[in-house]
Amino acid sequence: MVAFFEMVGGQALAFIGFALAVGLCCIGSAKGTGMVGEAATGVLSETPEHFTKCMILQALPGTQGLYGLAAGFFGLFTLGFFSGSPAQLTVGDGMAILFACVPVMLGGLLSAIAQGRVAAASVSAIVAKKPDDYMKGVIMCGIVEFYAILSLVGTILMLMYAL
Amino acid sequence: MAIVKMKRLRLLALRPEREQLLRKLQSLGCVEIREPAIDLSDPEWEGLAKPESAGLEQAKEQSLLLNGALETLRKYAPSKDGLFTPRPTVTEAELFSDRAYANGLDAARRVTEGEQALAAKAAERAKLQTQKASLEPWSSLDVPLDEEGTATVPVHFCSVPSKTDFAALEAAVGQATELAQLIRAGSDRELQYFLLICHHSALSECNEAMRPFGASRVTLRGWTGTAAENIAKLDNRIAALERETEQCKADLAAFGGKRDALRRCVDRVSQEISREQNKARLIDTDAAFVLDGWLPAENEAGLEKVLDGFNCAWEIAEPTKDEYPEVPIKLKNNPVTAPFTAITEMYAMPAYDTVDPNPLMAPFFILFFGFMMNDIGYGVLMVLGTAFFLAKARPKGGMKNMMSMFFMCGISSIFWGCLTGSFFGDFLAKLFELTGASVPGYHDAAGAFVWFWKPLFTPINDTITVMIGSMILGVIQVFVGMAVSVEEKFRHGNPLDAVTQEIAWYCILIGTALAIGGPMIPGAPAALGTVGIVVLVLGVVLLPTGSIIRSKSALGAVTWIWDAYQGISGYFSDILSYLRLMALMMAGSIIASVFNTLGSVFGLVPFIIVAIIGNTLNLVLNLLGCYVHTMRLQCLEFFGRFYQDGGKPFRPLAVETKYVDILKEEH
Repeated sequence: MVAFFEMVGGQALAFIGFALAVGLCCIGSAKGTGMVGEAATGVLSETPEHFTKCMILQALPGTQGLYGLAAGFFGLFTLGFFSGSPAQLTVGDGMAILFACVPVMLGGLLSAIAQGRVAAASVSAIVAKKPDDYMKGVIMCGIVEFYAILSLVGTILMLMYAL
Repeated sequence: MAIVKMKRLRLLALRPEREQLLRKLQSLGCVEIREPAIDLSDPEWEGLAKPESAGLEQAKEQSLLLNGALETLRKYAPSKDGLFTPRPTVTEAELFSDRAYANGLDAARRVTEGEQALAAKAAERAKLQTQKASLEPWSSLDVPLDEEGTATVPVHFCSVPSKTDFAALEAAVGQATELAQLIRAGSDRELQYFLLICHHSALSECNEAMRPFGASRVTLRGWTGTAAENIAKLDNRIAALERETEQCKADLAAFGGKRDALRRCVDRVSQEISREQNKARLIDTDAAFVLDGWLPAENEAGLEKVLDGFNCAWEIAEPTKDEYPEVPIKLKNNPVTAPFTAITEMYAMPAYDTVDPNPLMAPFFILFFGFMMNDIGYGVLMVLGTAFFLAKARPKGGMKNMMSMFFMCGISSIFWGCLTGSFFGDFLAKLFELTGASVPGYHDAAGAFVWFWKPLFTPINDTITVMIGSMILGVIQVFVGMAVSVEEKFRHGNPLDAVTQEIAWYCILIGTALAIGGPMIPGAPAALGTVGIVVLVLGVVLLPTGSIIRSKSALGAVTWIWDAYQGISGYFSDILSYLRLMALMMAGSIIASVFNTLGSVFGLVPFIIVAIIGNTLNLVLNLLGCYVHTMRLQCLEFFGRFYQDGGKPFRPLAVETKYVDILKEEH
């Protein structure tokens, strides 16, 4: 086991973390925005003038993908990949970085889907029936967004201390 | 800065003067008319009735007509008004001018007629298109459509499904008889069309042979001449219709100039509707009517002056305690605290004779919002954006409140941003690093520019300080909420509750903090810890006393355990909840700095582009997050300590316009 990890090396472990952070967050955002998009087509076929409102709601679960990318990028940056002299990582360092990425991986993935549900429901219920109140739907989504933000902050703090 | 004192109005007036009286009241805008508590089905009240509602029906119909016309205009003569177009100002006399209203109704009718004509043309065009489509397959056939052939050789127009093999059909007919001929005309998506010319003696064999192929006769009744001729005629008619449609649209677009007049009429008719709806709450006798309602005490003199001009009798009285749940709530605030009515209304109105939460909440709301946002750049954008909107669009009601609120929160963000040295995150530090500019100010250990002066703290480097700070802010707010509750309980004659609940908890919380924290403060007198323990014990003793006195038995001590458990978990979770102040503060600066770093890797230009996009996104998300979480802290943690909701908002009969602003005239 130990020999296996030593063979893999710290850098590869760190990369698993970054890759999953970006990938899973993007999956979450794709699912979330997809759900809202589907709901929006139904409303837009009846009332095309609500396009902007639907678009704003659809964009909301899209931020998690960005958070994943930001976390992955931040990791690469602090490891020195952009300055051309990447830090040498032990297996322990690599593990620390991999685990530091867990909050944003899971938080981003699941919160994007949860937020997508809220946004989709807001589109089909609020925008369709009481379009003037759509900000309330946005606020409901904002509450879910908070947990994606916390996940990102957690990951970034851990990355800062892991290095 | 308080809940406005209300008085109850009971009024008896003569029916012939009713319209005029209601108009006056509407213009005055200070009386809310309530349904009197009279059961009309009770035989004792025989002879009383509700006013007739014909006026309401008519007003609603006109409103429908006017709004429909506006909707039509929106389609054919789109308004050029943007978000920042302010509403025009009119006097009440202009708004209620009957001539303008009649003109507006007339214009609305003509717009509606225009739209109906347009719809009729569209329907006719669709009908002609269908006819044309049904003739199209026959267009290659040079045979009049009413051709029936002769008695011996009849001609039939027939069709078979499009997947039928026409050659096979021809072969089958050829085999059945030699006295028939099929001429293929054309096909559309579903059918193939052909002409059957057949000697009458062979007709039945022919039909027999065609049946398996699904052939049937096509009726082309009513057409004369060949298909091609008819199609040409239809085309001409369609082209003419299109021209007429264009003309109709142009006619409708010409009504674009009437939009303002129509909007004014919509505003007027909505006043009629609200007046009629209020009228329905009156009770009629044969010659007089009864009005039951509420008015703010401060408007009493003004109302009496108006009522003096009418033949009526009235009584204005202070509400009795029993009536308190009925009293409508109006909040009166100064310009700083008034915008927070938007939050209070979203939550729930306070009950009558309790406290107005706006002035209590406003300082915390502004402080907390700024604490979470803590950025000079974002704050400046908020201040400029809201100030521009307020000045240009002159919004009213909830929108105005929101904008003023964000304006103040923006100032607070700038203040906290100055303390943490944050301008679009670490934008300036990155910019100076990239450009190599050497700027005087505070530099970190590595010599990199941080900020123009030494930041008091930064969310990333002083996380623990920020965490403790946000909990202290939480303790302050919770304590203020408790103090308000103590004051209320004393005012309502429940000092026992105040002492054994809030004051006991004050003792417990402060005592615990002193007992644990006192000895930890370097240089503090040793007695501090002991004082803490004494205060704590006092609180612990006070807490069950209340339960015992209230339940008048020692069994009260049992409920005390429950109270204590609830209290401890409640205070603990409430104060921990203020950690969101720290979380949002950190999130904002971390995301900003990540975006600033992201672009800086690739050079100056990408840095600027990425920073603009990223900071815009961060600003929007932060606005949403800070708003939601500040509101949550107010509504849950703060209001939970003292707020008594249950009031109904004051909705007076007043002139409320959507498209115009009313210039107040002196009465």
